[in-house]
Order: sequence, then structure tokens, then C-alpha cells
Amino acid sequence: MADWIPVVIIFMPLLAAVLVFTQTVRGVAATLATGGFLLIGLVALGSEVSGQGPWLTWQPGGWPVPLGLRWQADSFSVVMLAMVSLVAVSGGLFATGFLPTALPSAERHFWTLWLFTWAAMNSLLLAADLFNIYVGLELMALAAVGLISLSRETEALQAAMRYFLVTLFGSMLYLMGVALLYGQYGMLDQAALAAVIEHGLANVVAAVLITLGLLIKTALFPVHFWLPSAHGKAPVPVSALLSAVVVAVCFFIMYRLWSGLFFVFLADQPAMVLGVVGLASIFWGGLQALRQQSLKMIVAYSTIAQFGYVMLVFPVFAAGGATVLAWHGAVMLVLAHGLAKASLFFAAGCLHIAYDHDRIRELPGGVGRLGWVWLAFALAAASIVGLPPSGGFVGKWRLLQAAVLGEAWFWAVVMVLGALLTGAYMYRGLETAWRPAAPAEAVRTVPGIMVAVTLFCAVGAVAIGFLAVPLESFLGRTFEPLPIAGG
Amino acid sequence: MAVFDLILGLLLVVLVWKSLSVSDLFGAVISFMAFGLLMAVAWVRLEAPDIALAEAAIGSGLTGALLFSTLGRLPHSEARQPVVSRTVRNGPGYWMTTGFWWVLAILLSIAFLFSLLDLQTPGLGGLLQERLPESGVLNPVTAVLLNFRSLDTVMEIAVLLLAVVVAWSMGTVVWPVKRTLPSPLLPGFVRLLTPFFLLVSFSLLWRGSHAPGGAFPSGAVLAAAGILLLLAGKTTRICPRFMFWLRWILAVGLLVFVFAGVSLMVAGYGFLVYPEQWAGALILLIEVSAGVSIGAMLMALYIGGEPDIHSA
Amino acid sequence: MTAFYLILAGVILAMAFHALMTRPNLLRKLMALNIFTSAVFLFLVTLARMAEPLDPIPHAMVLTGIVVTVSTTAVGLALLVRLYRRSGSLTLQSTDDD
Repeated sequence: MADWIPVVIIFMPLLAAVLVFTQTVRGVAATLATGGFLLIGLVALGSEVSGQGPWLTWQPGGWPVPLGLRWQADSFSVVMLAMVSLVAVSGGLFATGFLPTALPSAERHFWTLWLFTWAAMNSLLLAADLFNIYVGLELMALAAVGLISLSRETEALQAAMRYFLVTLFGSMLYLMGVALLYGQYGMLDQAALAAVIEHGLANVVAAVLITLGLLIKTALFPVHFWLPSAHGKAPVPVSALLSAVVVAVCFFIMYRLWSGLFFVFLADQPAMVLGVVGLASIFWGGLQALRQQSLKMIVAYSTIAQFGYVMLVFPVFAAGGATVLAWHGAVMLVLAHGLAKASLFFAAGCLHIAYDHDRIRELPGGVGRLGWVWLAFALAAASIVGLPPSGGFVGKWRLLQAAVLGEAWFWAVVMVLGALLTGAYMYRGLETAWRPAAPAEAVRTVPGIMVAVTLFCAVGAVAIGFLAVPLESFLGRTFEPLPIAGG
Repeated sequence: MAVFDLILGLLLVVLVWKSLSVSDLFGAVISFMAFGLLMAVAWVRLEAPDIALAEAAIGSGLTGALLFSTLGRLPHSEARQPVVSRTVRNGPGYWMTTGFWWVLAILLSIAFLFSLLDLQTPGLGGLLQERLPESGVLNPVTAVLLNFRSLDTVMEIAVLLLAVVVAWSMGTVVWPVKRTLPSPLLPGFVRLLTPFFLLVSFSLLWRGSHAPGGAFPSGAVLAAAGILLLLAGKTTRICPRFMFWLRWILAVGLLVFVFAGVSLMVAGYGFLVYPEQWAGALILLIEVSAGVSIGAMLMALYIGGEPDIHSA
Repeated sequence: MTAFYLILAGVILAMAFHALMTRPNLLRKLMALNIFTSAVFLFLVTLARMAEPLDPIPHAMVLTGIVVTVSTTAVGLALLVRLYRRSGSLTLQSTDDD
């Protein structure tokens, strides 16, 4: 099996980070080069998955599970990796315009931290070993703390500290769960464990602990409290990366575990609990978003709500009948959300640069370059709300179809109400676009690259909707949670 | 021996209580360090000498040094705050909140304990004993860290390097550091000790293949030597060239490890797959570069910020 | 003997968890988090001891964990100092939502 693919995917960003740290290569160049290498790697990976799929497996170190550990990839991994790379490169390009204007002191360390986060995320998306995931989670958390702390505001540092304590506590809960599973079975590999796991107190407690740890990191109700200030006060490209992909990776891990290793437990009750968590997140996030005065905070709260929405995939799974549809829906939703959320934050950042603040009440309407920014905001908002033909629409529609087919009427209603709520708070932000524009002198020029990236991500979110058919055929017609153990 | 365990456990609990509930932060940090040292004893009791070494050097020693260094950077008034302020203690919700958390804490522990009671614990010890001879080293923990699960160790070194990067991004530290010597004996004492530190560090590294030891305790001892030199005032001016080399020394552990893995992959064996006859030598090479790097990284963490050579 | 160490770990876990949630001082929260991780490692090593023969994999996990913990503690302390220099306080102000 072509070993070089996962090695390039994980170690290119890591190598780039180290080279930027030793001041051998410049940050932007390293990010773009990494993007280039990853493109090659992902194309190769994608074709291998289509050809030899649905699962690919590698063994770094060459020792078979359970003594050694494993990398794994399927179509979901591929699209997630692609999304992460897109956001990472876009955010980097955005930062080239944003940092010199808004946060020049951060430039020295931004790129190293950015690349480290990217490497951590890639390693998590390919990891099959539970302890490897723990180390990857710590890597990602540390890098994120560093990125949030680049801002100079005291509130940002407070938010970083809160995130630090909460996420490390979450990692500890995760590790406790892993310890229980290892104690019971002597294995750390997801597929190997899935083959032998049974119902039992220790396994249930392990599942609860692991899920709780991951819920904390995905910022779902009731452990969501760290996200708004952390994503709202961080520098804009950082907020985009954190909301669009870091949280998505944590959800990805939770999804992998519950659709694979813990699938035996996913009867009615656990699925109901996960669904309720999602429900609470949708409504809490949405209601709080309605109350916010700052554009960035609206966007931050919407992350909580959107991931709550994606959580509804679990009760729909349990309802049975349309697993593949539900799976496709969740994937499309996460993908579209990533690009759209990045674009929303970028837009908020452009507006902040232009007007020096982002309070909705006082934002004037858009003209010139800012007109494009508002267009991007509108497109991204459309995807988040789920208007056709955007990617968000496809995701939500698939989930709704799956819910209806499985006769999970309660959840279907929740989905519809959630979409309406999303529309309401997104409109709050959007309506400022129609206000009269401010006189030109009061507006600072926004660097072109920032506007371009904002628009690119928004168009991408909508384009996912158009690409739905090829994407879904790539994802596959059958639902295969995990590779066969030992393979 | 049960009495020994009992006393150890009692002491550990008392030390945890002191470090978390005593209002004097200096005393709390000292209790924390003592807790770490007694944990090292507990590791020995549980037949985990490698962990005992790491805990004593890194978990207790270095973390304690970090805590003291941080306390030193805060004004003295902060060190003597009451644990919970008087107004809060007499406020309405205090007993409810603290009671709630106690209940939750106990429930969490009990749930965890009950699930531990009927664990099968098959463990991988047997399988590991079988494959150990193929790994190139005799110490099973080293075999796991550097061969069977080497990917985890690569990531771990990346975490350490990232911590240095983040600490550096938080702020700079004036260099050279001006310090008042805590004792006039210190410079002479340190001069005597430093060669021993280097010997111990090298010995730990070399022993790691067949006995408890390895790159991490070795690096920690190196870092400790560096910190002692720092405390004794033996810091020289750094020229910009030195900063260049420092960055490379910090990075070399990770780079050598990854480079080894990639070379093996290109050579056809697979990423980080050591051919059996070369395993021991490769592991030693990786450990040496990692040990040096880890020493530098731990010391950099203690310094706590990027050395700013252009001021003063 | 292993049962004793399991119970000991549980006691330390509970104490550290309680302190993490109730003590407002950030330095103490960091120490509590550290002690919490030590308790989790104690669980892991006791599990290793309970296996026949002695299982070194949890030992490697704990070693990795100790290094990761010292890294995160160092970052937490650096952040704490910077936060103190900016805001003059060692406690977290509550968020303005919820």
C-alpha cells in the first residue's frame, strides 16, 4: 500500500511548521507549498479510495495491530482532508492581508502555529488508534491556544485560558475512557475493538467518558460555553480555522467512534441523548445568536447551532431505514459548513478592517469592494441556513429525507425549526447590507486578497451543492463503518 | 509492604489537599513537588521504573521549577490570596456549589471505580515479550516508544516543540537574565555538579536500550543542568548566530526522527519500519538527537519566552 | 494491592476535579489539572500491573502523557503570566453570556 500518501499528508505541514520555525522558509510560501503537496497527496488518496475502497489501511512502524498502530482512510476522510486544506490555505492567504493591517505583532509566530494546527488535524483525520488520537488532540489544542492568544485583547487571553482548561479536561476524560477500553480488551485500535466489544458497565462508562470529552471539544450544549468568546475574540483567520475545521475534526472523531466502535451501543437511548444534545445546541446557539450585537459573535454562536444540527445524524441512524442518506447528509453538512463558516468570519474580518468595529447596529451598507464582501456573506449565509442550491441545502435535505424515511418525525420537526431559527439570526447580520453606505473617507480600504478569499470560500460552499451528485457517488452507496479488523 | 502502601497513599492524599487548599501558593507549590516525588515512589511500587524516572525528572522536577518560576514572575501579594475569598465563602451559593461539585466528583470516581472492578485486563505483555527480540532493544518500554508505537513518540516530540513555539509566541524574556544569587556557594557548587549531570544524562541515554532510561529522562537531566547554570548566574550574551543554532537544536530531534522514517520508506521498508539488524543502531541515533533536543526544549520551557537578545 | 491503588487514584481524582471546578485562582486550577492527570496515569499503570504478565504499553502511554502534560502546563503558565500582565488578575472573569 502506498505508504507515502499518509506520510505526506501528515508530515508535510509538520515539516513546513518546523522549517518556518527555524526561519528557513517564509510562512506564506510554506503554507502554499504544503497546499500544493497536499493536493497531490489527496488526489492520489482519492483515487486509491475509489479504486480499492471503501477503506484504506497503513501500518507505520510495520507492526500489526494490536502491538502497533494503524492509519486509516475512507471517502469521508478524503473530503474532510480536502476541506481542511482549503480552509487552511484560504485562511493563510487571508492572513497575508489581515495581519499586516490588524495584528502586525502576530506575524512572527502565526505561520508556525497555523501549520502545526494543520498537521494536527491531518493526523487526527487519518488516525485509527485511540491513543494516537489523544496525542493528536493535545497537539491541536495547544496550537489553537497559541493562535487565540496572538490577539492582544485581554478578553482573548481570558478566552484562550478558558479554552485551555476546558479542552485539556476534555482530553483527560477521553483518556480515562480509553484506559477503560484498554483495560478491558488490551487493544487501542478502533477496528480491532469494534470486532470484540460487547455491552458491559466498563464499556458504557468508557463510551460516556470518551463522548463527553469529545462533546466538550465540539462545543455542544451544555459544554459549549468556551466557544463564543474563544472564536469571537480570536484574530479573524484563527476564528475561521477554529470554527470551520478544528471543531469539525472533533466531530469527525466522535462520528467515527459512534458509527464504528460504539455502533453496537447506538440503540434508542444513546442516540436520543446525542440527539437531545444536538437539539439543545441548535436552539441555545440560535437564540443566543439572535441576541448578539457583534457580527463575529453571531457567527461564533452559529457554529454551536450548526454542529448541533449535524448531531441529529445519530438519532436518524438509530431510527433506521436510510443510513446512507443520513451519512451523506452529515458529510455534506460538515463540508459546506466549513467553507461557509470560514467565509462568514472572513467577511466579518473585512468589515472590521473597513469600519474598525463590527457592531451590527452601526454597520453601514456595502459599496465597492465591500459590496463583494456582502455578496459573499449572503452566499455563505444561504448555505448555513440551507437554501437551495447550496451545499448546506443538500446536507440538510438529505438529513430530512433520512428522518422522514425512518419515521423520526420529532427530529424532522426539529430540523425544520432549526433551519428557520438559523434564517432568523443570519438575516440579522445580512440586513445591514441594504443600509445606506458610509462616506468613502470613513472606510478603510480592505486588501483585495481578503475579499477574494472571502468570496472564494462562499462560492465554494454553494458549489458543493452543485457537486452533490459526484460527491455522493464518491462517498459511496453503502455504509461501511470500519475496516475489517486485522486487514 | 501493605503498611508502606498505606502510608504512601495517606501522604499522597495529604499533599494533594495541601497543594489545592492551602492559601499560601508557595507552600502549595512545594506540596505539589513533594506529591510528584512520592508519585515516583508509587510508580516504583507498581513496577514502573521508567515512569518513576520520568516523573521525578519531568513531572515533579521540571513542573515544580516551572511553577516556581511563574510564581517569581508574579508579585508577592498574589501568592497569599485566600483560596476562596471571605465574601464568597459567606455568600449564599458557596456551600451549594462546592457541595454540588463534591457530589459530582465522588460520582465520577465511583462510576470509574466500579467499572474497573470487573475488568479482564488481558494486557499485551505476553505478545510484547514474544516480539521484543525483534525490536532491537531489551527494555520493553523503549521498544514500545521507539519501535512498536514510534508514531506516538514522533507526535509527542512535536507537542513538546509546539509548546516551545507557543511559549515563545506569548512573549519575550530579557537576556541575559539578571539574577541575585540565592547563595554565594551556588556557582562553585554548580561548577562541580555539571559534569556529573552530563555523565548521568549520557548514562541514562545509553542505558535506555536495556534498562529504565532513554531519551526523555536523559533530556530532562540535561535541562536540569542548564537550569542550574542559569540559576547560578552563568549566562552569557547570545549573539544572533546562536539563536539560529538554538532553533535548529530545538528542531533536530523531530527532524531526525521524521527523516529516519521517510528514508526507511523511500528505501522500501516502510515508514518507520526498522530492518531487524539495524533497529538497535537506528533507535540509538534517534534517541541521541531526541535527547539533546528534549533537553533544549525543556530548558526553553523553563525560560518561558523567546530570549530577547536586543534589549539591555 | 492494586485495588488499593485504584481507590487511591479515585480519591485523588475526586479531590483534583473538585478543586479544578471550585478554586478561582488560575494557578491552582493548573495544579489541579496536573494532579488530575496524575490520577488518570495512576489508573493506567495499575491496569498494567493487574495484567499478567506486566504490560508495558500503558507505561509507554503514561510516559508520553507525562511529557505532553509538562508541555501543556508550561504553555498554561506562560499564558497565565501574560494574562496577569494584561489584566492584573489571576482569576477568570465569567463570560458575558449564559
